[in-house]
Amino acid sequence: MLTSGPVIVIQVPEQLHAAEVCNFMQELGPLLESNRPRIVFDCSQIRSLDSAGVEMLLHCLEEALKRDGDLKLAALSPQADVILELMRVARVFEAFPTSEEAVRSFTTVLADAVGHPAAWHPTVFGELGVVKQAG
Amino acid sequence: MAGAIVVVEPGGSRGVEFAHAPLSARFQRPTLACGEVLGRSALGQVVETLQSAGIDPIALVGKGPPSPHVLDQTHRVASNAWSLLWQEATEKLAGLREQKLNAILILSVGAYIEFGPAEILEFHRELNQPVVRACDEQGVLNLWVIDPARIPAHIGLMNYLQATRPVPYSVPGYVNRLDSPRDLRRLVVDSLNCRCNFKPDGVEVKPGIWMGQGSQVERTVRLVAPVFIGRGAKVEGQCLLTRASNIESDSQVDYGTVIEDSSVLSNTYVGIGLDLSHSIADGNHVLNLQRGIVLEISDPVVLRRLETKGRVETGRRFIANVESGEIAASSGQGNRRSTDS
Repeated sequence: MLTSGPVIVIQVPEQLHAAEVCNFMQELGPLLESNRPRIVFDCSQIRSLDSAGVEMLLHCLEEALKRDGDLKLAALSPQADVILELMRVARVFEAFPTSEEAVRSFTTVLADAVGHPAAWHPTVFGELGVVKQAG
Repeated sequence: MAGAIVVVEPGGSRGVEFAHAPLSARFQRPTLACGEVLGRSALGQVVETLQSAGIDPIALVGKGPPSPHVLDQTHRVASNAWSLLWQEATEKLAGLREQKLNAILILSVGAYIEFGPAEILEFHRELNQPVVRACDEQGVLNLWVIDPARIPAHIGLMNYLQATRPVPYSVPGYVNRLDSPRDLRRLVVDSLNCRCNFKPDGVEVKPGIWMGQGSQVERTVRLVAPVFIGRGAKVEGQCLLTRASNIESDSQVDYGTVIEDSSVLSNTYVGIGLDLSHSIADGNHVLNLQRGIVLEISDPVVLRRLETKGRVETGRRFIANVESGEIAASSGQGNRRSTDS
């Protein structure tokens, strides 16, 4: 049976360097270990991103894909966009201008796949830095 | 008999008009003309042009920016620097007057202008006007010819140039105003595509591929002409350099990186497996020309400033030597190097 939880929108901190990555990953760990995690990273506040931050994004994507989920980026600042391009990972991620569009892209894909709109469930990840929950 | 005063302004080619700009805008960046492009500076090229036309003496005013690095925004020139610069030019003029010169070329270096000194001097002589000012289709340029005998002794040079209605002289050659780093990139592309006389400092090892003295390129690197690799620069294996990219002196591009339509300025390290497109990298700063944003990269494995190998940048050394009166010797040494590649 195809089941999935809600799309979780997470606000990425302004600075994404080695120090911030550890804290962020601690919060994110349980979410990535769930079944079919569907995650949107709202990157609108990112002002500074280094290779540790990019590694973290790739790690999250990898974990999500491993569990048949996905990770999408939304509202990338021009600065973050340039860094992702410079580090040759921009094409790896699906990016959307807004979080709403990123969330919608999940529901569209799912609706196409199962033939009915996705059901939304309450999340257990409320305390994990989740700022918005679509549904 | 003609001499020249070359003024190295901190504000690019805007010169006189620039003097009225807000202070914050006026002194935000160093003069691009002093930075190293294709192994040489626009300033050096201009002085070479004057020397080859037999202009003597050439007085240079202004020390140029302390940092030749284009995107290094930490330096701010003092607010009175501009007026001090032109005051110094007035003093130089007084010195040249005593040499009974027929004409003096005044160049405010900022723009890169290809012109024939003999032609503009001849134009000035024929018209017998006090001031001739060069222009192109975009407007006036900061290049004047004056008759020193007609300048009142008590007036400052800039005041005189502003107060006197000049006769326009249309420059037939290539002009690049170098007002922004985008113009710097355009100068590189135009030069590598032979659209101007600004020649790379190096040897053309294959058509369109220029290499400076002591540059190292791994066997597996792919160079798609036109490209320039400056002296002492190193390009590691599996890199791709294309679309008129230039790696300036003593820079390093690490393994597997793609440099496309970009400039890597001197003493810059570009990390492994990157994709630098439509950009100018300078130390730990990168300017993306498509988006028009400058980023400071804090991660030294991605981008960083490399230590200079006991060598002072061309533009800076040039100016220092000019100040000590060694203009001819130093410009030749700094800008006409032979290559051993």
